[in-house]
Amino acid sequence: MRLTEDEIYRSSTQFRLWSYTADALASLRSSTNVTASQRVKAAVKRHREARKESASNSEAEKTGTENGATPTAVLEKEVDCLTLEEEQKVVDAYCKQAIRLGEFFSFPINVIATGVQYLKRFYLFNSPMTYEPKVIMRSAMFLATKTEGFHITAENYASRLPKTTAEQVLAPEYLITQALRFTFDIRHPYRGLNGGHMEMSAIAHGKAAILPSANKKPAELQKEMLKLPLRPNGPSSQTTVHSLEKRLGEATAKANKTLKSSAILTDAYFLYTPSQIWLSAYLLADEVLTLFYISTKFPDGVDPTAPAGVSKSRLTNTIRACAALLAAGLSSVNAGVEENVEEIRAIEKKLRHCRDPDKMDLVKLNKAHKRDAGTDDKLEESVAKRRKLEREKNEKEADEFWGPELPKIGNGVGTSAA
Amino acid sequence: MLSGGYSSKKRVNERYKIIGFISSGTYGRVYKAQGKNGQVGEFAIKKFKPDKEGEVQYTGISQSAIREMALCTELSHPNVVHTVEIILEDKCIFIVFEYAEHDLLQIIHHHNQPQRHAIPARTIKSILYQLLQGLVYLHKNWVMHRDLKPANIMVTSAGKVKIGDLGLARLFYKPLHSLFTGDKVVVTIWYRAPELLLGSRHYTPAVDLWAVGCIFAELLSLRPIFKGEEAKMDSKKTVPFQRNQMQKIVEILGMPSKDRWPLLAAMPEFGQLGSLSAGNPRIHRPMGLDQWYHQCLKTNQYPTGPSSATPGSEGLALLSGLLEYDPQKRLTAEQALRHNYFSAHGERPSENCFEGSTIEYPYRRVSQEDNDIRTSSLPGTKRSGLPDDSLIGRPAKRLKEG
Repeated sequence: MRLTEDEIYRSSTQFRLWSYTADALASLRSSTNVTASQRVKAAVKRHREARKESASNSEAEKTGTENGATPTAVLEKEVDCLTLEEEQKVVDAYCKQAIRLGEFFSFPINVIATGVQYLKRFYLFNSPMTYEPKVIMRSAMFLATKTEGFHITAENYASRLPKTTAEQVLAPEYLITQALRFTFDIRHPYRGLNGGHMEMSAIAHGKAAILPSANKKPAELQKEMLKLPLRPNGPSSQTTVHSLEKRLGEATAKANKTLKSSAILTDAYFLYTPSQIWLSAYLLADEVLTLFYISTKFPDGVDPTAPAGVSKSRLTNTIRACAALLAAGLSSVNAGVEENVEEIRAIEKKLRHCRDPDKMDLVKLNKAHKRDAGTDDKLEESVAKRRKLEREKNEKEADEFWGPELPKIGNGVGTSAA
Repeated sequence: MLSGGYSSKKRVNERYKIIGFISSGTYGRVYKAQGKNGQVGEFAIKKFKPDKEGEVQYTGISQSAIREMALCTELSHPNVVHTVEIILEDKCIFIVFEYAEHDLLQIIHHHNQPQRHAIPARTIKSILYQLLQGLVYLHKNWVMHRDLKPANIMVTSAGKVKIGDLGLARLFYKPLHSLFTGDKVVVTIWYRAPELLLGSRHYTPAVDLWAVGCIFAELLSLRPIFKGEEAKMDSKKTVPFQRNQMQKIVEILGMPSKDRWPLLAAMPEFGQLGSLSAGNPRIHRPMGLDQWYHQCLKTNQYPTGPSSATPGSEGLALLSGLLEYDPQKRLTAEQALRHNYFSAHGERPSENCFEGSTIEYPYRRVSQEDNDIRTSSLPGTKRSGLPDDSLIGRPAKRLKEG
């Protein structure tokens, strides 16, 4: 049985269900926005009519009062829904927030990256107008701890977040599970990057594992590598193995940084494979090394029109396109939070007026679905007390990290929680 | 193919008619079902225990359900039990698998009754061949099963072998908690590799190959080859050294040596080996795998001399490659698949393990006692209810057969 890495990747759900062309991705998001807007408008209309009805009923009871109509009239405004662009900005902001949340917990990068991808996948099919990103973000990250084997209890997790109960964290779990179509496995580029680093380091030491198709010896490759220019189109250099090692280390560290930020925040995972992503991050870090590394995978001086030559140039083009995406992501990350905080705040303010009223209280919705939810709050007293102490301690810690309350975007979710 | 579009709200009872109950474990219960309304065929539906929110430890969808879903959705191979779909209904998770009429435990059991009669050599060869193909696929996908045992190897009525129950399986590139601390459920002891018994905290896919060796031996002899008694956890919750299990292995294979297994001395429980022989003279006079094998073939009346009606000397060679102490020297699934055993006598193993066999195996018994898959409060699904699978004598709790 022959199974190449490519074949294995192609059989993954990340490839089969969660990979798109840029166009398909855009149209999917746009149709999610349209559907959600229609739903919000319909739901708001329904709620208004229900309210009107009960208002007119009560009016009928106490005849003579004219005031009842005034508050209804205020609500009659047509709902101003989020545009596609605004939705994207809110989701992006919460993806960044999710990274900070993961860092606060000192989660390993795999947990953080998986959590962020869950969030991005969730909002391909759902709108922030339907489900509040802050709430989904906390749960998505919590789910990621389970998938990646870094599990902590919901109670512990919630207690370290500002104003969050375990119930709120858990309420959207099934919703997210369904939205993820039960696919929890996310393929990341981190291991690929480490593998690439080790491979390049082996070449530098003259110990390259050469592909059968390549017509080179390890020593020749090493010699070539030692002569590589320091920057693209620069003069060839004559360096030592030691400084080459150093150069590799720096490039890998830089690429790693890109993979931990821009790669998970942009649409890279939807558009490219993990190996394309790490090669692109490496390209941004050290173009010369990356192109040299790629060239070792193809026969020397390959004819550009031969199949190998065609696939080599296709690969390089793909990686350059992905690198451009990652570079744009990096500059957005580096621009910092402050820059768009006003903009996000404005969108969230707008969002408050176009939330789907049916989906406001996920805790309540979740309970309605549960068949076994009878035994609420029957925890033993001692347990409750211990938890309270733990919570107070953790809250203090959390406050120190998170600083003052974030701008209020709450809308009553979870007010019923214990 | 997993259909389960995110918006579809399929209901279990609309698509499946529950025929009966198959088994239960710590995770929940498994039912046999018939498809309906366009869904054709028979299925095994695994229902994860519903949430018990009152519980102190309640922490959402269980990690094991998530892990199993994460694996099942990624895997697709003819020798791995196929996941048809996953359904979420009223906060219960149902994984729908293809149905298999038999499993190796049931087949071994059948050959022990009414009196012992050997499983045909060709059947065994085909089973092993298919099992290893499934295992190569799992290992290539970085999945180690960790709980291979006869009860978890399914066989369809068409003779197709399917590795089942990935409930304990793990991706081995993800950080693994050690078997002893992270997981509540413990891998069945009789099939547990020596490096695990000796306390190795980090282990490799080689543990699955040891289990394959034990299964091969069991198919040949119709008895578990290393049938140890499990040492229970003491009150301090420290993990005990499985002395009796290790003794059973040494009684046959002999003491592992640093020559054969260079890293042996680095095993946390290495010091225990010295005291294994206390009160057990057989430790010093091990039977040897060769003798065990020849005696086994004789007892079960496999013909002597080279022929495809006996596993022969190639069978012994393969078995010793699998029951190799040093995990680094143990055959990998790929190497095992290339072993002479499968090519001897110019005969390729059949893709149907029942080919050429006239033995009729009984159908899996299902119980009618509880057919309402939607009832949430089931006997035996309470966490305090039934003990772990592994704590019971035979690997899985199941209905009495025969």
